[in-house]
Amino acid sequence: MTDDTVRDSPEETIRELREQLRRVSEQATSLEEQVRSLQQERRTTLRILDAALSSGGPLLPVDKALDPAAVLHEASQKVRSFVRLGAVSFHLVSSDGLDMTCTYCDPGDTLPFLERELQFLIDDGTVAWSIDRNKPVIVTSSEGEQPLLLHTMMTPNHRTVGLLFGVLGEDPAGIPDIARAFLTVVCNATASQLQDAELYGLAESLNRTKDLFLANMSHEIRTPLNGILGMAELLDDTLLDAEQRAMVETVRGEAISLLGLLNDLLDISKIEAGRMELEEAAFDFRGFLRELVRSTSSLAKAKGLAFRVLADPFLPERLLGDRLRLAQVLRNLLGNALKFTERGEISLEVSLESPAAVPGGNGHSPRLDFAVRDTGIGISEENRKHLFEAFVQADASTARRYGGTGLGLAISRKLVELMGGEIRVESRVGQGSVFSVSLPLRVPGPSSALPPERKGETAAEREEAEAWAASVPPLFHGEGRLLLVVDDNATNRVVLQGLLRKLGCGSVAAEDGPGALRALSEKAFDAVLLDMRMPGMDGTEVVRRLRDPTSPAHLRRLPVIAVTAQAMKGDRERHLALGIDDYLVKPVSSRDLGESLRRVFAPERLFGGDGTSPRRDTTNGEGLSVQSGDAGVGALQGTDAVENAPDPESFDPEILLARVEGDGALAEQVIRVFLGDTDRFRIALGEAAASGEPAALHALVHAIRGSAANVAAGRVERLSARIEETHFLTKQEFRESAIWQLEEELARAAEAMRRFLDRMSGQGWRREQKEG
Amino acid sequence: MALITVNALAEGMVLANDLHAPNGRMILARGAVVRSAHVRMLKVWGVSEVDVEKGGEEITLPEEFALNEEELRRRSDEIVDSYFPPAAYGDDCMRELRRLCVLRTARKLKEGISLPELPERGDRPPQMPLRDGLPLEPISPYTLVRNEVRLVSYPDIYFKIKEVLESPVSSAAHIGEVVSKDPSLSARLLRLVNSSFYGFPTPIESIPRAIAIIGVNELTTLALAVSTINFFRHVPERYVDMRSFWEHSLACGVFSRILAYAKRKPSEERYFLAGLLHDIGRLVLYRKMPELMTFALRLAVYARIPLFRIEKRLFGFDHAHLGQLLLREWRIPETIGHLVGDHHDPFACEHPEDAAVIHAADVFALALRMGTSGSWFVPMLEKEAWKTLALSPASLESLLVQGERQMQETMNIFFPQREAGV
Repeated sequence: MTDDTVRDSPEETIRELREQLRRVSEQATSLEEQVRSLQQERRTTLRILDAALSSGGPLLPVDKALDPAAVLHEASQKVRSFVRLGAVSFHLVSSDGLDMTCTYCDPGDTLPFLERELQFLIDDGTVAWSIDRNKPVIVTSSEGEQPLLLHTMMTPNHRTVGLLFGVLGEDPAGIPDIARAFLTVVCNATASQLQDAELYGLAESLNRTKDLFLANMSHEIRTPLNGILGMAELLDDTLLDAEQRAMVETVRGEAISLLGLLNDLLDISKIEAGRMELEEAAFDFRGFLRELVRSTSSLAKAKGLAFRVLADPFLPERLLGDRLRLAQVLRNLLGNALKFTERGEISLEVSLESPAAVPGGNGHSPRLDFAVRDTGIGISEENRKHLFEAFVQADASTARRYGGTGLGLAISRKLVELMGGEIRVESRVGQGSVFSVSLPLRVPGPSSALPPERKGETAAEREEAEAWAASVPPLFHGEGRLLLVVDDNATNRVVLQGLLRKLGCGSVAAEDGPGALRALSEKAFDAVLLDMRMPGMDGTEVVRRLRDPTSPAHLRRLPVIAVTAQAMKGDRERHLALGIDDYLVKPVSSRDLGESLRRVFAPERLFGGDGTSPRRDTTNGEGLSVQSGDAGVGALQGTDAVENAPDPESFDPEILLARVEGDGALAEQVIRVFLGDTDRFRIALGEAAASGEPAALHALVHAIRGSAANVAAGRVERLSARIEETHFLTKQEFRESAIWQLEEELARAAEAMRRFLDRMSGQGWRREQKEG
Repeated sequence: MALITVNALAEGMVLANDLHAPNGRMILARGAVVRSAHVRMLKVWGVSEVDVEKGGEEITLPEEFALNEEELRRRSDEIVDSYFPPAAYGDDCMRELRRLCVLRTARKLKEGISLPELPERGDRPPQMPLRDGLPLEPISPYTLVRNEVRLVSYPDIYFKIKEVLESPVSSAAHIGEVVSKDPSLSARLLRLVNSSFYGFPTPIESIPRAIAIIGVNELTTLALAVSTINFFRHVPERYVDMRSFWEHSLACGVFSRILAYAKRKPSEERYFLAGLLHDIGRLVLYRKMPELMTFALRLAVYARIPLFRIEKRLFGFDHAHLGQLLLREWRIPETIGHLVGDHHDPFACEHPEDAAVIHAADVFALALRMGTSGSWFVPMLEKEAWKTLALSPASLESLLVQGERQMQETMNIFFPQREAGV
């Protein structure tokens, strides 16, 4: 309206205003209505969602053979939560699709009515129409009174397993769309469940059949075999001549072989049928190992092979698992090692791997590792590929020569996998193989098997560890090496010396720098454990003096292991620059110390059966370990108690005795001569090293070799042979290292011999006396 | 060997062939003996005819067309080749489609039914009109759509139906109430529901009963579809035969729905609606850019290029995209909008298997010559599309038969013959 419009009369204005008011209030009313209907809608939606979701989560889980009736009852409950039903029934189709029966009806007395009505709907084609249509269909009953609900039950892969058929208890026109959708969901889920239950039942019966078959087969074959064995035993007890007895032995042997084969076959069948179950029981692990070691030892000895066992001092006393199957695996590996090794040694390593030790371990559970090494014929890369497969053996000739079913490793692998572990092989043809098994460590009871590494040991733990160490040697064995422990703190000294003792090393303690230098000048040590922070002359100064060629304390090649309070960045480099070989961080654990010692001394795993080294990267590539440190001159003398584990590689009394045909006195004499020679040899070696003359050195080494052979000092002999044969002496950088090692070995052999003599004289032993 | 109805089956009869349910499930093998208990189950599965070894009243099959008649065969081939892509020979499914079309063409020729003829090829259309009729600025599809006043003012009932569709708690009562307010809508809806569209075995007499049987959501979508057709069928167009346009649209809708049901998609009515509206964008193009579209039509015929490609080149967009925008203006749910928008390029979108349904339906509709929206040639349906839809040559025949049957009935409902030429 513009300004110059004629002004209306008051009545007109009022009329207009009232008109506007009316329009506005109409709009308001209509908006109110809309709001109300939206609110109503919201309430209904929530109600249905609530009902559908709160009537339980997913339907019954199928982890065992389910009763279809239970599934259907659940389903009917769910459906009733969002659609009112006067009656509900489920009709299931048989698996061959040729029959449909009512499997559930609630309430039961409505069944006749429902069956009748359903038949009408079948006849007029309504059921056929809705059977593939995955939606609810609402029709009227035959007399036109009641609304009936039909819904197919279809699995996700569109297989119809049945029908839901019921009587609606509410006006179909009022059923919200969302309720219809939920109905479809429930029917689909129920169909799926029923299908699962059916399949589960089938699977179960299949498993039962497998088990029955395996059990029967086992019985049927074992019975006659046992009969054969039994008969052979009886025959053996009767009067037989040598030829006949030999025949009986053969029969026995074959029968036992056959039994072994049968067991293998049954095992592999069981495993492949998925019917192998491992036991879960606590067993005495240490006893288990002891037994294993004992039986393998005797077998090894019978074949003239060395058998070495290295075990972590912190192995648990008890394990949780299947003792029998673990034994099976280890015996298989050890048996193979024995079978395929003609000379040299086999060894078993048992160790623990804590999460901290595994780089990037990020919280894996601790593991129990076994490694079976041998110096046998090895396995080619080609054969390694199929090694763990059933019925495969390396090649035809191997199979013929070594026999076996070809199942052992396959079974071992499957068993290890069932235990949650893994099995690996490394090998080099002609040098030997290593089979490693890594299992998750499982111990019975709430306490963990691995003691926290940073706690000080309690007396009980130490005792236990010692007792354990007494029966099985620890992972690193010092083999009587002597170390100097330098620390101003008395407790630290005691701890370090204790650890060293456990690791098979002897030790002498010094309180300060000057004391250390004095001790070093008086005795020949194998290494020094040096605390870096001491009042007065500290560790750094000690090392400086040790490494300074002009200093009287110069011991160029004495390994020095620094012990520091904390590891800082750049520490390692600084230490190395000083001339320190390795360092440890306090508090020092047995494991850390063992590792360090091993690094420093580098295991003398140099020579396998034929004199070549299978592995170890601390070698210089030619099989000799490159060392720093001074061997020191002079005989090895340990004043502290030393772990006296006999080391036949260094010196084997049995062989010597065999050589002298049991003459103890002669053996003693030979030893004493050798001991006298050793001192001379070591001095001569030192001089030859200094002069650098190849010819002299060569002759010397040759002489050493001969003596060592006579006295059964195995390693000395082998080492000198190697040096002699492979021109180590011609290369400057290897010469020194070779000489040092030879000195080492001589010292060790001498010590071993001395201990032997002590032992024998202590027992007043004279063999000739016994047999005299 | 004789085909008898299920009701005529008797105990002891022997099956002459493997018996399958309509959904493909194997029920009984050839040679099986029929038991009376089986009869009930056969009815449950929807088996209507059984092939038995002897006895019973025979049902005669419709006569299979005899292709020995050389001349007829040659002519049919010629006709089909005139609008089928040559590349069809290289693809199994396309080849089968072509074969079925040849059979159909031959049958129609024999029965004397006239077939639609391709427009005259004519001379090469003159150069694209440069000055006259061409806007000075590039054409924006959005502007086109927004300015289309006529198309925007939909009737109230349409809006109300949409409301029902959008509410999850709408019930039969709601939609029943809305639909009953428009008698012609109700009538058409009922006829549709009673047709082979649903093939319900017994007659459905009322909307409430239809809703009870078919479903609320389903019927609401159908109602939306029917009201859309109702609204547009009278829109006159100078450049296109509206009856033909709607025939093609319906055919696409029918086939879309059949394909969707075959793939067990949850809401096959939605596909019907999308198929129905798939070419609606073209109406806008005809209305707004008549000269350009005329040119496009002639070029399409001359060069045997699908029309949508020319649209794209001329305008920068095609009718599919335009259609999607239009549906958005009408506030039709985006789910349907996408189906329309991607129907020529299903693999460009997130859910190719959905748009591929419309794409395939379009191809079928064109192959069977059920009207046209301007395009006369069957586009090549690529192997990827066939695979996405899990369609094999063997499944084609029954699809086409179903589609034809439903089309006949549906066309009658919406475009009875007496209204031809509107």
